[in-house]
Amino acid sequence: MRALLLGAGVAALALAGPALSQSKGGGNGGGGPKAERGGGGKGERGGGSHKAGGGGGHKAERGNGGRGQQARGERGSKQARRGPDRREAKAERRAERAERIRGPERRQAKAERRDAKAERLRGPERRAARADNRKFQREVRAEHDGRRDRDRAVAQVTRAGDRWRNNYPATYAGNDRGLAYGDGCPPGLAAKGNGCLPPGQARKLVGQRAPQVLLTSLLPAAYRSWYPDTSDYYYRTQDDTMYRIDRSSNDVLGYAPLYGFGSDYAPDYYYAGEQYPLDYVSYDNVPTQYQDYYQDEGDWLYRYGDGGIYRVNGSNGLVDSVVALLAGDLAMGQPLPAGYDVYNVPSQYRDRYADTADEWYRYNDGYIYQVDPKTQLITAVIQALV
Amino acid sequence: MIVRITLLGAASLALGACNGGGDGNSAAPADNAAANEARPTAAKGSLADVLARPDSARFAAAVRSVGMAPVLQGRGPYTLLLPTDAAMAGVGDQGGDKERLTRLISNHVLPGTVTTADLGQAIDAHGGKARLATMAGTTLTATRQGDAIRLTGPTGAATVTGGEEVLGNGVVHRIDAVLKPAG
Repeated sequence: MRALLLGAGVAALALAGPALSQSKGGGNGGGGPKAERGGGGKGERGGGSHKAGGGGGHKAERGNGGRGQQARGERGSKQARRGPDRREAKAERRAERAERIRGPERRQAKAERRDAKAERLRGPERRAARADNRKFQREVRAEHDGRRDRDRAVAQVTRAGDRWRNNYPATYAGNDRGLAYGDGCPPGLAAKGNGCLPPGQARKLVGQRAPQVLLTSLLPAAYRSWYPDTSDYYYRTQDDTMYRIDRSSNDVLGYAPLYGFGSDYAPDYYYAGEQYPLDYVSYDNVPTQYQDYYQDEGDWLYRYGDGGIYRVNGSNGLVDSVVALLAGDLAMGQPLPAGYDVYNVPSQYRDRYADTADEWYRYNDGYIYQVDPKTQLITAVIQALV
Repeated sequence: MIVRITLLGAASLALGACNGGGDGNSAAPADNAAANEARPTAAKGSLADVLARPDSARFAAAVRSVGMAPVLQGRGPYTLLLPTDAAMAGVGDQGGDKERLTRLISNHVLPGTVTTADLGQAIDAHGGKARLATMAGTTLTATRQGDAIRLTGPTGAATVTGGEEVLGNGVVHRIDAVLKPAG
């Protein structure tokens, strides 16, 4: 419970952050909400008599039209001409200020909507791409097998270091590992003549300063506890891809795929012998709660991929085994999804995290999640590996 | 063996609203967290040890063929619904389709430690039906069938047979049929 209180304290500080930052800029910690309420309220009132108008840009017009009808007499008419101008300018300034204040929130909401849409759209596409890639790998292997047989038949000596099976270089891309691309490309990308760039051109960003739009695109909720920002890195997302960004320089260091967790999410696991995507090998992307347990050892790399953590052979990029299954279906602030009716906390934690009338606890992916039984919302996250 | 807690999501959102280049995901469960030790468990062995027994040979072979043995040897914890060998005989090798086999196996793995008592309590507390998420992304429904517990999935059902076996990295329930995921 001490842990719980401290966690709440951290959250309280975090929640106080925006208010503090606004108080510096706007002179009033409540400026944001007031501006939102004020702007919205006036806009709504104005709109009440002018429903044909629409959008934030119409606020001043609505105000002008409504109040212009109140002008009386010539002098009044002059004032009315100036009045609306002033009011219009004032309304514009107010709208601009509200926009500045709400900008980050809007961008975040927009980013989340875009992410959700992208996940819906790209899930099938990504699966189709995986299927294509698997087909390509099978063809490459078949070709390789045929070639090997032919080579044997003519007693040719295979060149030393020939890695035809996967057409991979002996080294991998990756800033973290200090390695560089060789001449080869992974299956599916080799024939495209694009320098091994993956779809979405994510690799173009590596080594570049992260664009502002990327810096403001937070990870989906389910990933935030897996990849929290550290004193060295930020983690941000764009186009189904998670980027690791250097905190001091804002340079993009690497990237990995994000999977669209949701009610219809079904992991598309890699299996032993399957090719792990070269571009995603570029850095250690094991979720933070598992990093102490799955660290690279020589040629054996541990990497997160759809549905789990995989041990990958660093010399050829093939998946050796699945070492952990991850569901990714629980997240702070989200409703408890279907499938968690049953208490499942590990034995080692049951004495401290037992269900009560006011608190439930559910386990997944190295965390225990506290749930409010009434709202069914996940209210806290407890790291709990055994 | 460390426990840490934080209110991650809300804090992340709050910070994210401040400044895009700031600490959007930074309410980490790491630096500021209190820590305490996990209780040692009296349970010995691992899920993989159960698969090493002769009566689990077919499921064990399937697990090995797709490289999932480390999942059951590792930290877990998971709840394994282990089909009998007789039930697995009907599955075959899935025509060598490792993708399908991987998904089939993961449909028998649940997150965390779910005991028979937990199942019973949840069934009673939820009006006779309790839902269980599998690692394949499907949901099983647990119901009582006399003294036994019945698990129903998208394409079939199985009955929990015999007693549970609690291990260091999870728990095993034996079931009398294979639970195939949809698709």
